[in-house]
Amino acid sequence: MAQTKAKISVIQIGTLLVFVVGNGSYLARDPDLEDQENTTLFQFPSVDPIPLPAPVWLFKLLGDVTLVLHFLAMQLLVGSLTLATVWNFLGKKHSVRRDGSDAVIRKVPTLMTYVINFGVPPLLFSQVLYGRALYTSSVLIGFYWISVIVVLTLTYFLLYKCADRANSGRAWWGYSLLSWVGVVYIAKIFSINMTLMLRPEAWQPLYQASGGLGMIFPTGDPSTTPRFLFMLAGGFGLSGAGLLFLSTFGNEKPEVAGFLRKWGGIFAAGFLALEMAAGVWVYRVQPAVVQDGIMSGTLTSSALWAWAVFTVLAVVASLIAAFWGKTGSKILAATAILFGALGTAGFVVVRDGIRDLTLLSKGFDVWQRTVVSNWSVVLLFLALFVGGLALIGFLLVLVARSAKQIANQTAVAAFAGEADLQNLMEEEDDQ
Amino acid sequence: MNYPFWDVPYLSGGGVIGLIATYHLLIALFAVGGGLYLPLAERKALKEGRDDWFGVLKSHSKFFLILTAAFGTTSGVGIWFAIGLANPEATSTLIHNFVFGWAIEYVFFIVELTTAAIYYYTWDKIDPKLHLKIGYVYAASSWLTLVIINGILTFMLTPGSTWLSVAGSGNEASVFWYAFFNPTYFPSLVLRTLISWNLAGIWALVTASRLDGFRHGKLKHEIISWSAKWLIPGFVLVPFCFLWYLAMVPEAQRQLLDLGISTIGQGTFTQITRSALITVMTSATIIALVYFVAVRNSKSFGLGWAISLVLLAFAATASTEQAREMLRKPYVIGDFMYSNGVRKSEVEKYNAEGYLTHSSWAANSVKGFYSDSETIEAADLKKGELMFRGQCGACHTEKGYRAMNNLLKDRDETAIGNILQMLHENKDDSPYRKYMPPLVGKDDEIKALAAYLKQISVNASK
Repeated sequence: MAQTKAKISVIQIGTLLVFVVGNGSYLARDPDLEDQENTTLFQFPSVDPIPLPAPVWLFKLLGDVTLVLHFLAMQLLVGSLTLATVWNFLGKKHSVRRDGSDAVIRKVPTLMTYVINFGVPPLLFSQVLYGRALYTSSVLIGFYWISVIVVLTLTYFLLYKCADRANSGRAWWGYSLLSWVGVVYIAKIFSINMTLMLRPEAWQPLYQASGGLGMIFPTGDPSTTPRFLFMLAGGFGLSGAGLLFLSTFGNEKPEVAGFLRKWGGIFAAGFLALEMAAGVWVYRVQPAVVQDGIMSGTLTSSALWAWAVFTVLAVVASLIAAFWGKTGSKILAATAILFGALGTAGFVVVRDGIRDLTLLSKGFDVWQRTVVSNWSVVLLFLALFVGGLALIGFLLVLVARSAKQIANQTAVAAFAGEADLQNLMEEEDDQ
Repeated sequence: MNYPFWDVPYLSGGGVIGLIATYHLLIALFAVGGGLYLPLAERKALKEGRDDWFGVLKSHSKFFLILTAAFGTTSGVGIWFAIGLANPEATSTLIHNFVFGWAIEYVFFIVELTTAAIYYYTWDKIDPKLHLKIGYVYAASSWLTLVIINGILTFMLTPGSTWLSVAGSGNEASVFWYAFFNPTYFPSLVLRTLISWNLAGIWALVTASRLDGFRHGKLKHEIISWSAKWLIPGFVLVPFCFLWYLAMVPEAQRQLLDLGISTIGQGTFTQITRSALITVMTSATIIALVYFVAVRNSKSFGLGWAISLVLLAFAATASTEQAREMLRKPYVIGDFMYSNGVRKSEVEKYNAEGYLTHSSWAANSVKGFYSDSETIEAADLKKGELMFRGQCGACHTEKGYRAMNNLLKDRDETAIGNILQMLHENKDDSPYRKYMPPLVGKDDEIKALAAYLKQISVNASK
């Protein structure tokens, strides 16, 4: 015990000395790695001399809000694409499976648009707060990081191809399978980068091994696989809830809607339960300092509980909808997706906590930044953000109203045409 | 070398940025110009009761949606990824300065993509007047994305004296709008808007080329003629706007272009002049092809011709971007940060204290070189390679793009040493001063770089 204390104080003094001498660079030891034989000094690049233009909390708030939106779109995309591909492969022409898969895949390109666009702001805000870690880890796997763009482009294009083929009644599972491979590849690269940025101890060896192009994957991080599985299971689960929603709020034929309800409910319940198991795994592989930090922090512990409770509720709602609900049971469908989404919001906050606590244990305190705010620009952004969303909502309402009106007019015209034809036939019979 | 160096063999990180940026610009500017083209064409068709135009416009809006969403959006993110890999230091500066500029652009972007999807998916399903209004909202939001990103792009060439006066003081945020509406902002905005209209016309010819000219001869001719008119404002006004733009560029940067033009008679072209000449030649070829091949022979104007026009537009865009990048030399952010990520204010410090000693990526490695290598010469070579990566690798590769093995071929160590000394001293009359950043570091670091370059030169001569 005394030995450990002595060791810690040496580390603390060493850290202080290095920090003072280190010209602004954070150099620190991770207390969790004390027992390792080869303790290393962790080096983060120097902080950018330009101060933050807004407080750290605002960047974190904006980052988390937009990350929730990104994760929701991404989870819906991953699961929908998987299920639709399987159904399209198994379903014969004009079968319920095929029609169900067509109904889903037509929505997927639009989902992808939002996956990308909601993904931009959290990455942007992360670069402001965590750029020293994030740029570094990105360069270290640079080849794979830039390959995301090529894969994403092809994946996105293939989704349009699938929707096009669905519209013309042709099978498309081969294209969507390729697209699925692309989506999972991108998810994997993101998982690797987002965990590598938390491991400064792995950076130097990786850089020396890779030679600079960034073609070597980091190994030895126990959290990469559970995090990846957590996201995948959550994706399947939430998209199951999405299918429930589509089955009641969409305009599908009754047999297609019933099919989507049943399988959507089963998938939501099964995979959200799996997500919970993966979530426990993610937590358990965190170092003790991070686990303690999550449990002792009011925000992170509340968010963890919120995630657990909402996910359980989403599982229950999905099960009821799948086995005992009626087609068209809007409350169950809305409840399942709402609780699923709230669960996502909960884990986004916990994820943020894990990142901060891990980095803090290695000498990177995200809150220690100079802030010189320019509120005029911040307020302009916030006003435009709210205004932009309001404009989109307003346009969607106008479009829905107009579409209904046009559909009614078309139905009336078709009915009038049929009545005219009937009159004409009756007149001919009379003659 | 605050960050690890992304070493892309043959192409260089800068080359990756250039490729993605050109491809992106060709689509992104189409998204801006094409966004106006569609509602104006729809308005014309509605006003004149031209039902036959609607089929073409629906087809064009599908092409437009897929091209701008699947390829434009992803390549835009691609530039961002690429600059973060190739020059994280400069990207960090831009993001710290303009994070809310980018965030505002993102808001317009969300509106743009949502309205693009609504516009395509609601043909014949909503009131035509409302459909047209959605088209106008799309046009406005896509142009506003240009309004925002133009501020950041032009800042890199001309940050302006107000921002430069506070740069490094911690008060950069207080002069955000000065940095945004910098000296080249307005001429660049007008230039890019005009070019976006040109590209709208050129891309529309791709859709028109797929019409059967013998079955729909009149329709095809009308669409082609109307689309060709979109090239007129750009080709008439771009030269004047370019002069306006040049007038706002700092004298030192303008000299790069002047130097190339004044030496054309001797056959000595600077790279910037070559790029500018390619822009002029490809643009002239485009206008000639559009008139003689597309408009005058609209019936037989096929997809092959249309793709040729797009490729010419790609060449024109690439060369213009290359010229713009060259004009910024030796900086990545004018008068503030050199293209290799070294801040102008850091030069003296690095010369006095050493370049590699200030790099967390190199300092430990260098110590290891001298303890692990068998000879001091071998350790020097490794140290020289780090110097090369940090200070030269942003613009040069060993073999490939601006290859050192080609530039240094047959030069002996003395010649290489002289060049490095000239770069290090960076005197006013140095021929390299206009293009290249000063070489920073202590004598031993510069000697190590010379040894490394000598090795490249020897390998090239073999």
